[in-house]
Amino acid sequence: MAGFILRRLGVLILTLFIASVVIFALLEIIPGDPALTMLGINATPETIAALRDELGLNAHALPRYLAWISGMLHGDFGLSYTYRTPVAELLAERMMVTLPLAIYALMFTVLIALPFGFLAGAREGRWHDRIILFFSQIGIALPNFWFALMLIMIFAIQLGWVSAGGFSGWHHGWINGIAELTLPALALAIPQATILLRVMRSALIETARQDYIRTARAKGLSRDQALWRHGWINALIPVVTIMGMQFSFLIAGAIIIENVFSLPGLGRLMVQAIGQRDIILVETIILMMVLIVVTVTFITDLVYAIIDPRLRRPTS
Amino acid sequence: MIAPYPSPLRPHRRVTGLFIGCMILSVITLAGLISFIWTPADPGIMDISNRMQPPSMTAWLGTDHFGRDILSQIMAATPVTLAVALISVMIGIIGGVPLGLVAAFNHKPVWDHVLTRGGDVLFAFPAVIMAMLLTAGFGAGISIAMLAIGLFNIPVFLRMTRASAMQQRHMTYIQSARLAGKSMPRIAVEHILPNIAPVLILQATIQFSLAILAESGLSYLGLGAQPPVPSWGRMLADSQTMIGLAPHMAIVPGLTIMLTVIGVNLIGEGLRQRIDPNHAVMPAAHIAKADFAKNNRFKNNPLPAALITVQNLSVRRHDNMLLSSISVSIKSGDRIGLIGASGAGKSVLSLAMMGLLPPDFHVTGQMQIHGNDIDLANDAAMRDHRGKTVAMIFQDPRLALNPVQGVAAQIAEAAQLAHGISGQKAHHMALDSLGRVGLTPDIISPDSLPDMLSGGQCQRVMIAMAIIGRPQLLIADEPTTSLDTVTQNEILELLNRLADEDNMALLMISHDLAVLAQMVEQIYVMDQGQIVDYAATQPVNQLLTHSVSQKLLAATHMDQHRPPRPSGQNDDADIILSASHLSRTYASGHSMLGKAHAQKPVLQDISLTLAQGECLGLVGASGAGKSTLTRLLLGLENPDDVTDPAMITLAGDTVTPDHMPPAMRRRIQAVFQDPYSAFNPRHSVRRIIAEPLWLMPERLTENAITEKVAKALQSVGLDPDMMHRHIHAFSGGQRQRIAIARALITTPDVILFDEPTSSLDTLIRQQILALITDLVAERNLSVIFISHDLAVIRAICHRVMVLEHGQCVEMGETDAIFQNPQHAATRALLDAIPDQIRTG
Repeated sequence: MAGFILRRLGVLILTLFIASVVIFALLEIIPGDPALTMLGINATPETIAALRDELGLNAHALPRYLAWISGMLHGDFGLSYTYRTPVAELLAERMMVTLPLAIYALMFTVLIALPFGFLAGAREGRWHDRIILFFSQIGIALPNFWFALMLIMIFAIQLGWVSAGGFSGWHHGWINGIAELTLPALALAIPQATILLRVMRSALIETARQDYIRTARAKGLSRDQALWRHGWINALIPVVTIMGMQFSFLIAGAIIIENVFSLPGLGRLMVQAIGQRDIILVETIILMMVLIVVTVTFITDLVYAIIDPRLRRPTS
Repeated sequence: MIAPYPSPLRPHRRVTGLFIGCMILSVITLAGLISFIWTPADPGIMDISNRMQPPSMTAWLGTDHFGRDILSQIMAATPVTLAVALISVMIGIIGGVPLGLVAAFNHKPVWDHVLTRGGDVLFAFPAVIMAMLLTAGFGAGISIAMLAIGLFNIPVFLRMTRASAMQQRHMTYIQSARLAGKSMPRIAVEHILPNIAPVLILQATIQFSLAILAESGLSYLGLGAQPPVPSWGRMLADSQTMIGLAPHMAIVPGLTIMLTVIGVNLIGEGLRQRIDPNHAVMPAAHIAKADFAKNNRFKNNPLPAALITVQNLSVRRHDNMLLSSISVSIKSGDRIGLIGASGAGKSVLSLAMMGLLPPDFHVTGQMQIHGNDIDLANDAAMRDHRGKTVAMIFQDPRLALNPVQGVAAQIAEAAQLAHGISGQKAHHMALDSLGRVGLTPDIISPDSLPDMLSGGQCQRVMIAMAIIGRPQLLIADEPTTSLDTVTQNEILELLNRLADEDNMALLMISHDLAVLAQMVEQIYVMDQGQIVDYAATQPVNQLLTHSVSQKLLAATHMDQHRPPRPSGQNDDADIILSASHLSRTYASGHSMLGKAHAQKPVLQDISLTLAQGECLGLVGASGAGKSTLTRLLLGLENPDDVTDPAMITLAGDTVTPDHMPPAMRRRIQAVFQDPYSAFNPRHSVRRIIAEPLWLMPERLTENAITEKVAKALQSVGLDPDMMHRHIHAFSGGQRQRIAIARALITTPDVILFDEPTSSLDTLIRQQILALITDLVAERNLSVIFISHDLAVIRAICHRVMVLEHGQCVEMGETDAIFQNPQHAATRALLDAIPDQIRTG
């Protein structure tokens, strides 16, 4: 097990390293002068030179890359050019919106997908299955930001139950915070939940065909009991794979949803940073998002090992 | 065996989904194309006086906040969206598929690691994040959006291609193609790509609809199409501030996106149901509606009060009659055998008695347990008896156990269900039961997962589970068919002993009369869903009179086949194939960069010679190294470089695996075990048989090829007209004949038969063995025949080599080895032959 974790950890670090090189190369080397990009074409040569100096752009790419990485390893993410505050503070604040939003959405996804997927799979071809499949067909085609707009239209404008967006922060109490994140989380979760539901359904149907389900029934279990005791844990293996991938889609989706609901999260910060050409901020946010994505992949692998004891034993 | 549960969706429903999807997508594509020449109004013209008008006769879908016609904008945006989606999917396919093939097929594992890791890195940038990164660097634009979505598609297709190609890689037909002299890149393009194309097309539809969603999301953020190019996503962004005043501005473009995606998804699903083998209609055993009364002399016999009585049991699935009016009675302590060829209905009968048939099998008739009627339509009625009165074990024990639960826990569950006892007690009972089947804790840990056990051990676990409820009847459905002969014998002895100890009745199902005859006191013979013969006193095999029984009986006699021994066998000039000092070690694991870090020897220092016209048998239990030796001899794999130089010579020339010249390759061909994976499923018989002709020095005309294929088909007893049919139309025995025809077509000197009859039932096995020996005699072929079954070996081989754990433990003349086996492994193999054959 320890060897398994170490191997996966090695993959995680390697992926992060390559990603950081890609990001750095794309933003600071290939497209020409970042100072010019940041200031725009009307900037005077003097201001460009001053900014180049401030950003340390006159140094070579390699020392700059090393400085960026070692700074981050020490918790120094640099100074945001537009906000004039340390990037680390900005990120920490915004992360407290994006991460809870994505986790909340994942919770909705799982709570919707697993029970309904199980029900549809266990009743394959019957009316429960058909109704669930019909709604999932619609849910899978929903653009999440449009669904968000529709939710705003119904619950904020027509019914007036919630505000149309914004986030007043966690200091007003976590109940308030969660209430404000509920619509955005639902908008994020519903399309992903319908995808996961279908995965759960087909995994369960596949499992129900296996010989060991027949063995379980030969012991005297009913079909439903056999699926419940021996089926769902085996069906969960493909579900967890997709779930791990979905968390990265939830993070990416949060970028859009935060803009629909005007939530002060990482995604909104990034859209603003791109508009303001704040390269340092963009780089760091993207690397953070990649970090979240690969960390979740790592956690997925660990969950695998919990579900599937075959992975836990040392390789001999 | 029973086909898996079918999809309950009826065929015409699938077509409907596909049809609706095609309609939706055609309408949308058409609207987009029309927009190049005509739209209801100019999509760019602003008319402030008519802004935010709801849908009306003049503006069918209303106007936006600048008074622009929404329908016209949607139409004008359609080509952009569809083009972005299409091109981004193309980027994914062009980038991902070749890389996936390289990852799967390059023989240096380091490439696989580099490519999959690279894919993982790319996969860590979802399309939106990639688009942000590219936009920050290069500025916003539709081509950047396209590139971002396309880049994300590359690892998707890479993974998909790699995974499906890896599956195909282990199919026997890939080995066959290599024997036909094709290089790996060529095999990848010619054989693999067409076979994985359906999966890739399916993935393409999924990625296409995801790309539509991603493009609209990016456009919504202002990272997609820039004004004045219209886009669905930006229309939605514009609508947001007006959402209270003009909801139609938000609703209409959103519905358009949804409709498009639903259209694509319906097409994808329709395609999948046509492609996916799980959804395909399985070719059910073709059984005509039989006249029930005819030929059924057991119908309506008065049956004595018994443990289980089945009367007039019929099973129908759709239009196929699988069982016709079966009546069977089992008393306590009976030992009953049920025999018949594959497809005779044996498994259907046993599953029907357990009430375990899939829901679309329609069962009629009566069943009584201890004289009480059981309602066949009610699952709960039989459930009370499953595991308590009747228990069952199955053909493939490895698949019959839950792969993620310890074996003792699985047995304990059965104990709890049968006796209603606590978990603690059940666990102790499970340990006792494991002990009874010979799996004491010093042999396997009770917490072992099934994949750590051998097939024989898994079957013991299944037996321990079955007997724990003290059933009065144990149904064993081909319990040893997937096991090697030595293990088979041990399992049969175990069943015998347990049945005696517990006074448990046995219903043994087999296609092999020799196996049954030594176990049972009564035999029912089944054919085409009916019971056609019955014998109730020993020796059962002499009392069976029906023609089907006679055929099954004939199949147990195995000593008529050995071809005449070539003369002058010890002359060195006659040696056609010789191998010396062959060893092979496999790495059992790889480090991250593909370096092997554990070694497992599977073959140690094997030397052999094969004379012209000689038939050499290679025998050993599973895992003895037989198949590895085959691959080395065929030049498909390299032997290890050890101190003694390994050497293989074929008619005097040295075999070098990586660059075996065609002239040499065509002299040695092979027939493999599994007739179902041995051929590219998309090819016709003609193409399959003709493939090795590639190795011939001269190029043949189409007519000459047809003639050769026809001759080859005739020589294996098939009709030459069959060459234009597709391979899936053929049965296992016919396929094995086709495999032999293919091996013969280059007129080789040596043919390796790697367990060619192991997956065939006994009747067909006889015919194939007879064919092989005829061909050997007729063409003076030299043959290496590999089997775990000494009875088969003795029937056709002159000399035998016994392998155990990768070493040659005994070698000599067949008759000498049978009369006076020297090694324990040989004796175990000999003991495993059913008595009837050994003496007969």
